[in-house]
Amino acid sequence: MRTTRGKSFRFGVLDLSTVLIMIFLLLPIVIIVLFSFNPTSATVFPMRGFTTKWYREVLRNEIFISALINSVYVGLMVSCVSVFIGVLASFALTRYRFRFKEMMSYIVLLPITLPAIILGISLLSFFASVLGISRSLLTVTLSHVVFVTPFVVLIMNARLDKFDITIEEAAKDLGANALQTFRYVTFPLIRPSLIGTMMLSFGLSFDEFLVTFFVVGRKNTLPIVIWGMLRRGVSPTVNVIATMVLAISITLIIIANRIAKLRTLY
Amino acid sequence: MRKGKIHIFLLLPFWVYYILFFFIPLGILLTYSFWLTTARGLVPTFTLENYWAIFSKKLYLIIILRSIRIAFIAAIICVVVSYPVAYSLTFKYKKMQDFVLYLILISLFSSYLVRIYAWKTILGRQGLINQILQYIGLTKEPLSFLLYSPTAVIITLVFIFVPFTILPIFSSLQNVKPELIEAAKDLGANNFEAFYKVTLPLSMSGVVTGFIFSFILSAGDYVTPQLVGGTTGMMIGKIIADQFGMRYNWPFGSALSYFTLFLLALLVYCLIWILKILKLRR
Repeated sequence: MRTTRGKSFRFGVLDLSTVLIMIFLLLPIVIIVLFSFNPTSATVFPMRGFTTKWYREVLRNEIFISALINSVYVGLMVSCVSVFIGVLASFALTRYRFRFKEMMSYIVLLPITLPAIILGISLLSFFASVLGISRSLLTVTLSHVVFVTPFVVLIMNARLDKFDITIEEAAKDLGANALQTFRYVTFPLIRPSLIGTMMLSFGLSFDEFLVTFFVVGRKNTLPIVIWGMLRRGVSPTVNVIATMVLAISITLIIIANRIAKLRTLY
Repeated sequence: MRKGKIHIFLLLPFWVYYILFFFIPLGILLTYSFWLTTARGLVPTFTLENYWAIFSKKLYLIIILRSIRIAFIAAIICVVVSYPVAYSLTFKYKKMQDFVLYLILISLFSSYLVRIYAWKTILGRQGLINQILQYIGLTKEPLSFLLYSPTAVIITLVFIFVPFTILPIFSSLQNVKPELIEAAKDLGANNFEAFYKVTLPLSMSGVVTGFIFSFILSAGDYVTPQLVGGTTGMMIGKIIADQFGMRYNWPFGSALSYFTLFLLALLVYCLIWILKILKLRR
């Protein structure tokens, strides 16, 4: 009896704090979405009506459209390159035994344990002094791959650790060569995780500001445009762009999760 | 696990990329910190002048210490706030787990800049909190100290980095089998003892990972202090960013970065060391 009462009391506090924290996490985002439909430009409660005029304004805005295209372009490039590098590294880390392997798994994570500003300024120094290339979408892409790859390795390691290697051995026993085994056995099994990881990589790149700020050239990505708007002061179009970006991110997360979840079937 | 040389080829793209675009740039930044900026431009020499310059003005040390203090408080709050969420997500809301994790991911993936901006609209003079306070009649004038203060910076940093602490704590709590807690209770432990002696130690790795993540990332943030910090909430990231922007003093900016990074690494190392000692005593 004592334990039951104690349990329900503790969980009561837990429930309350969990709900409060989730509200704390989501309320600001809800406010942004709500105010993207606000007819006046001031963020004053309660809202005075409902309008989609800011949405039309944003969709006509060429700066926004070209930044969106640039961000999608960078995101696609980044996800391809980082998934290629990360997945190969993950195969090595999960399937082979070699010296300094423990240390390797820490080195992989270094770029995301470093404050983004330091990554940004060191890449800026590198591009400007050593490579002598001017800042462009290429430098943005090259920079994004550095901090996206660790996430790819983390996720793929989790997947490949659970991978049942006997399936591959069975394929080889049945006469498949290494390439065939990969093409018909390994690849179909890890494909959901690959697609999920690519989407995550895209999402990470799409939203990045802290590093991008230092390495971006004349062609802007979306966060850089948002930054410019924020510096000029509060405008309802910021809410609209934020809401659209949010919609894109949520769609990506849900699709990625759906696809990656197929693994439970195996 | 196989032996052989294939792993070298698998790791080749990774090493090439990391060396080229991570280690070499960091090395170049370090080199810059020993150079000098003069009216004519950068002078490649070897001097510690940039590092001495950090100590020349009290301001830099004050801001570095403030950044570390703000980041430390934010990281502690992040962990304290994340633990109950991760805990109830693991042991209580099993059915809602996916949904709540979705919500956390949504927070994590909604635009970083916009999340900071959202707090600006909430804490500002015309913001949500002031409007509610005035509406219920607690205050007549809008409170102006809510925005542009260290507190505003801490609130915003916690908001941004809580997902980063919830996720590692959540994944480390997956190691805690409910049977272990049951066993502890059968052996006479009460709820608190079972938590303190079983659950917490087993999930400590997630707590430490989450803390280090949110601490370092908060300490280096340069957008949050700029948007919601004002002068009293100014942090070192903004000063460094300025050296690479309008100030155009890259060597000094590099020295500041490496000095701050050194302090952060030292603190994290001490923390891990202290935790190890505590573990040995238990």
